[in-house]
Amino acid sequence: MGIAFGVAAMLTVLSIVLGAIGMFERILANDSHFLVFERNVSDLFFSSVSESAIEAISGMENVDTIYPMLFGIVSSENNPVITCFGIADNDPRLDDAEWVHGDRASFGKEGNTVYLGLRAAEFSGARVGEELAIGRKAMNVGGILKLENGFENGGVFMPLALAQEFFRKEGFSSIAAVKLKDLSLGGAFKSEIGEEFPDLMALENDEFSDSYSQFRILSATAWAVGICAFLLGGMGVANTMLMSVFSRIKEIAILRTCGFSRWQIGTMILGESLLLASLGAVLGFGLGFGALRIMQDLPQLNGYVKPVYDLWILLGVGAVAFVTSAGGACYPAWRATQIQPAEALRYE
Amino acid sequence: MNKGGRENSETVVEVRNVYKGFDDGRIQVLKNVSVKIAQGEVVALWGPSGSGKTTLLYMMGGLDVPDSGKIYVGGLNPAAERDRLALRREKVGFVFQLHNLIPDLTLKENCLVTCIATRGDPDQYDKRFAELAKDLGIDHRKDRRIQELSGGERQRVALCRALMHRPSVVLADEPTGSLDEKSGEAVFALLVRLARKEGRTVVMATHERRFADACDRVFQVRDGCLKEI
Repeated sequence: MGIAFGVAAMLTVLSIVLGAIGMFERILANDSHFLVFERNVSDLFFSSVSESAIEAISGMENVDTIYPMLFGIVSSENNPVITCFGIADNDPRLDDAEWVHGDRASFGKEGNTVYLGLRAAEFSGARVGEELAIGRKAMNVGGILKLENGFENGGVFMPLALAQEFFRKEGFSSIAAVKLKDLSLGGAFKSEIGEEFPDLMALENDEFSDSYSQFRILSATAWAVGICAFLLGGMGVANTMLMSVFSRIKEIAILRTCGFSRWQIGTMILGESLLLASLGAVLGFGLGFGALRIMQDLPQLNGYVKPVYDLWILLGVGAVAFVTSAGGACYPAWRATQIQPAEALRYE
Repeated sequence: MNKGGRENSETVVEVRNVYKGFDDGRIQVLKNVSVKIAQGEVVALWGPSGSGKTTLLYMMGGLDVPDSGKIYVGGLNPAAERDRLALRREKVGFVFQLHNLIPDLTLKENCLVTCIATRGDPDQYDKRFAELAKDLGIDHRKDRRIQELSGGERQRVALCRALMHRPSVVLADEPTGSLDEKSGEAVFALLVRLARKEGRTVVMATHERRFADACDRVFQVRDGCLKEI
């Protein structure tokens, strides 16, 4: 059971966290190749890219399109923390979204108007045409969008200018997503950004994902939590197998009298442990997948849990289960090899 | 000449000046014990409980080591770690008072444990099992679990397991001790008959004089010493 819970915990945590990272990556990528953001910021929420820089970048020869975005955290009725996306009128996610209510063409045309992700609309209870308290301001709801990305679906979209005013960051965006005409010239683009704008940096999307400290911390935390769960599982294996060895002292002594070597006894205990762990792992995968399925379907979490079922995660979880089980069984196996047949048979 | 008529046979078990004590030597169980047993002999170690019969048997089988002195079984030294495994796999088979079978296994599986230990040819062991099980009258119960067998049947399974790998020496520790009179006699008769049929040596610890008297030679174990009677 220890291994089963370890597998279930690790699978669930990793799938959710990596799924969340994937969703965040897709928010940033937004049909683009490069992200431009302020150098040396700990979090993209603190990044500032000026309008003049965005204008200059959009004028670069190899730049096809540029999509500025301003992130902010706002509160609304019934929800103290909601992510706000200040985006330009031409942002592709507006075209990709399913407009449940309202009109795509109206985005940015009306003042003091926000657009809600479907999930945000559900939990705030807001309808198109009504006013919604966003922070200390009341804003009109201009439309409701259904987006594929869970985070976006739970967010509030504002025209960029309105978001800049609301967050008092006039003239600035958090990031700019850049699509190049020729991706093979991406290196030159990066260098150019570094030279022209020393306070900014450009990273290719994958490069950003690999280097962004928040993603790395999240990912490392997920693995650490999972491994801790496994350590408990490993202790469970050790305990179970030790109990098994102690309860089978006589049986082991008999096997030794029948010609089993210490090595054969040790591998027998290890084998049993790995068999138990394999059954535990199968059960754990079942529990994990079940838990993720339930979380995906829970109305309270709808959209926020988008698990990633990556082969490497499954292999990694399996490998950690194997190593933990083998590690947990080492001491019981060693104890089994030390049983003296004469003593065991004489005193049992 | 002994009852088995093997006076000039090769010595298969030799015990030379063996001492053995427990509790840091405070309890001296065996004192300067020496004995030679020939191939094919059926020998009884006779004496009361706690006289050291089992200890001597265990040392012959490499389950225990002497404090001093030497033991050789089939040319191997049971006290040496490197010889002990070969001894148990090839030279000796054990029969214990409480049968010592593995309860979760069937009759046949218990007998094939040695095959697993030695990684022997399963077909050969199957044939050997069929032959022995028939001789011992347990072939019709081969798929039964140990709990489903009577005491006499269990001891016959233990006998079968001890003989599976064709050992030179069968070490039997009170093999009739946990059985009623009739079953005890039957098991003893089977042990002696099969040993004689296959030319195996039997060293049997017993406290029952009638079984000891039916052996080729009888050694009385008393006050830590061995005396042929």
